[in-house]
Amino acid sequence: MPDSLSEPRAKSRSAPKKALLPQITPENPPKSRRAAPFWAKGGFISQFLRIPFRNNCEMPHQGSEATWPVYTGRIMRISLFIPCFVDQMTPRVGLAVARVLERLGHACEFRPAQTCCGQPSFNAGYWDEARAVAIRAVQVFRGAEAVVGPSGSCVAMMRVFYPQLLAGTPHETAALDLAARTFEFGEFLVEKLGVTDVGARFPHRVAYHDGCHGLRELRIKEAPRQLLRAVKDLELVECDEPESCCGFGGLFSVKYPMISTAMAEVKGGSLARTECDYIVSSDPTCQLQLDGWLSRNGKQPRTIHLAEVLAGADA
Amino acid sequence: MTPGSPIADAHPVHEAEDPHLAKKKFLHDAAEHVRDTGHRAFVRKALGGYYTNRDTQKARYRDWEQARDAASLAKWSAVNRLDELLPRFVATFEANGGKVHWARTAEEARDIILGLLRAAKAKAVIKSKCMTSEEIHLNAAMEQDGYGVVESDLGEFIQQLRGEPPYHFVFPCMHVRRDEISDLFGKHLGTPPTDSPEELTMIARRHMRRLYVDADVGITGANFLVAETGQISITENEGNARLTAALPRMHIAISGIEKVVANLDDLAVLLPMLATAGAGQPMTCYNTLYAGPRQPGECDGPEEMHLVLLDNQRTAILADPEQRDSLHCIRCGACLNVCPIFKNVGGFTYGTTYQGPIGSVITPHLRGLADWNHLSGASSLCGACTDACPVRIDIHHHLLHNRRNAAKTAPNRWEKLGHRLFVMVATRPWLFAAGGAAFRKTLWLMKKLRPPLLRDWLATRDLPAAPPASFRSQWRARS
Repeated sequence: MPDSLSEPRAKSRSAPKKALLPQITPENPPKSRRAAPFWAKGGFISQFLRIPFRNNCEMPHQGSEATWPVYTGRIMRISLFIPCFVDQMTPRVGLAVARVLERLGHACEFRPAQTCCGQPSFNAGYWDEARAVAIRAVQVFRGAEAVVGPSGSCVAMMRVFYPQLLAGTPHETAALDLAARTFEFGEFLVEKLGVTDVGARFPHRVAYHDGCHGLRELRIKEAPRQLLRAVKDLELVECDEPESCCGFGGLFSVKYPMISTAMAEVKGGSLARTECDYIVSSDPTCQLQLDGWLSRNGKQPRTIHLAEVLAGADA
Repeated sequence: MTPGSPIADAHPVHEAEDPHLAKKKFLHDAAEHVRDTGHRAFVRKALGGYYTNRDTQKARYRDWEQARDAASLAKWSAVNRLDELLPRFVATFEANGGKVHWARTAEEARDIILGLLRAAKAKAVIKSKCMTSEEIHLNAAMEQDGYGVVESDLGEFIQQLRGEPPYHFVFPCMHVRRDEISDLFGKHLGTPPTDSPEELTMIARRHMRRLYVDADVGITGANFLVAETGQISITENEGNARLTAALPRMHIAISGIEKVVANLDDLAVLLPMLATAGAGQPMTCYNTLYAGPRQPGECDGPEEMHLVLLDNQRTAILADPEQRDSLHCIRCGACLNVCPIFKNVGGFTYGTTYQGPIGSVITPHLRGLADWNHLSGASSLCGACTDACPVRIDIHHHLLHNRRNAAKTAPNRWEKLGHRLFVMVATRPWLFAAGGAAFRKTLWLMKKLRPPLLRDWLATRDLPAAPPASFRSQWRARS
């Protein structure tokens, strides 16, 4: 199933086939992106050309309300925050996020000037280096109505650590503003859009793995579970170490590989004991760690991102 | 148990002789320990009961989170008013007949205590559990000076017989199996083997009773110092600290300066929190307040009571506003009990007096950041410790702060270069896309060549195959 998702979507940009939300009317269709010019359609060479011409960073500022009321039917223009790891290694997750959000009637944009949130340097203690990356990210997402990313860890970096990192710099206000508009994917659906049932079907037994940054920096615990419980034919089970860390920890996993592996052994073992078909996670890097350990040790379940589960529509 | 053994032998395996080797030793011991799956499973199992008890007791609070706020506030207000509370405590304590000694360093503290022992012409010393004494390596110093020292806490007693420091600063011998204890007692005390925990406790108890009476000096720690009333609060489960403090003719308590709290109301908040977070108990079995030596007309208690107030770099933590809250620590051990690192590498691997997350935060302050920063690095920053802390110390963020301070003061040249390169790539989308493409296209080759960091990953974990196209190119194609 994941493989089919990695295929690029058909080019038709008409309104979704199933109107899931009544608010989408002919007078008020979801805003589609401007078609890219012919030279911007393939290959990374176009990167050189694209950035100066299509100024994605200078969107009109939408206001900076600290929190939103739960979804009121307004169509949002959601800026996708695709972490570097997702961009390069698991693009299917990013596409699945866009697919789910668009199915709910919202418009997604991807600002190609974004790269990485800077967490590797930040966690290693090289804050000056991380600051340069953070300032860039804050500028890239300036004016976005909502920034939604499929990784609790990277979103935590933006929401929790950018304001600390940029405190006392001219970018502090912008960082706080971005922090208030940045959401983790599952959390965004439940807390901000007020949606739990996205009309997905996934006929498997799954266990949910909490990523530590999502769980303890963003306090996301129930939202992904609510979403999973609403998926048709899905059986959700809990493992006996629900709040244990998988041991990834970024550079920690290669600087202290033995401890990291021991932690994967504990969490992976606990998840494998649930005899689930899939381990659902909201953090692609946790998936990397768990999959790496599970596959090396010949254990059955594989991980899948929450967005991929939700994108699997009931066809 | 072996009087006269030199300091160097006191902790034969578990202290790195050269602090510069601390990181090397940590990596070595961690790798060794991780391989011992039986031991890891044993430690996990030993903590299993703790989790259920803790959750049961936490559920009895009307609002555990609010209780944490209150406890944190009590400690916060005390730590930020040390200049006021410590003199007040000393004044009231000395008015009750006690004597306070100030020690700036571990060496000063040892000298003060040895001086007191000499003045009292002491021969035998009995101790109850006290991590501050571990911090200043008191046992080794006393044994070197020829005093017989016996630990009266059962766990500490077992560790003393084994010649090891505590494994966990609340449960010192949690890593020892019952049959090992039985063998140990058989070897040192000549008792028959037994599998009953009650019988093992009775063996230690029978052995200890005589020693309390024979001891000239009793040394205890202190959980809290109550400034308002000049009392020392000691919390224990075995009753040994009471005997240690009350039976010998001199009582010496050792405490860090951060243990002071304003009044008994604050103590009333902190004592149950300490018991619940630390051991999953509603209250610890014995909670005693000591307010000075035997008063005229009283029939028991020590003739002299001394308190050694130890700084040993605590003022350096106090001077750091960012990490000052790590002085809130009440040494309950909750952060160790939930820490996946601690559970997998064990207590000895740290090579420190205070193990686990809080140890990783404060040891760089107590013993030097350059040599002990690796402890802050050895964390996935999962934050379980911060969630468990009853006094809301921001433990895992302090690990980040330590990493930052270390990168500022003594950066690793190669690491810094690596991060500079990373920034160069991450601030240029075209370079990021090109670099990403190069990475994806050559991943299969790198899996074969195994360059340094990738090698560590691939030793125990697989890496997925790289997808043919990145998200940004797929997104472009679909628009």
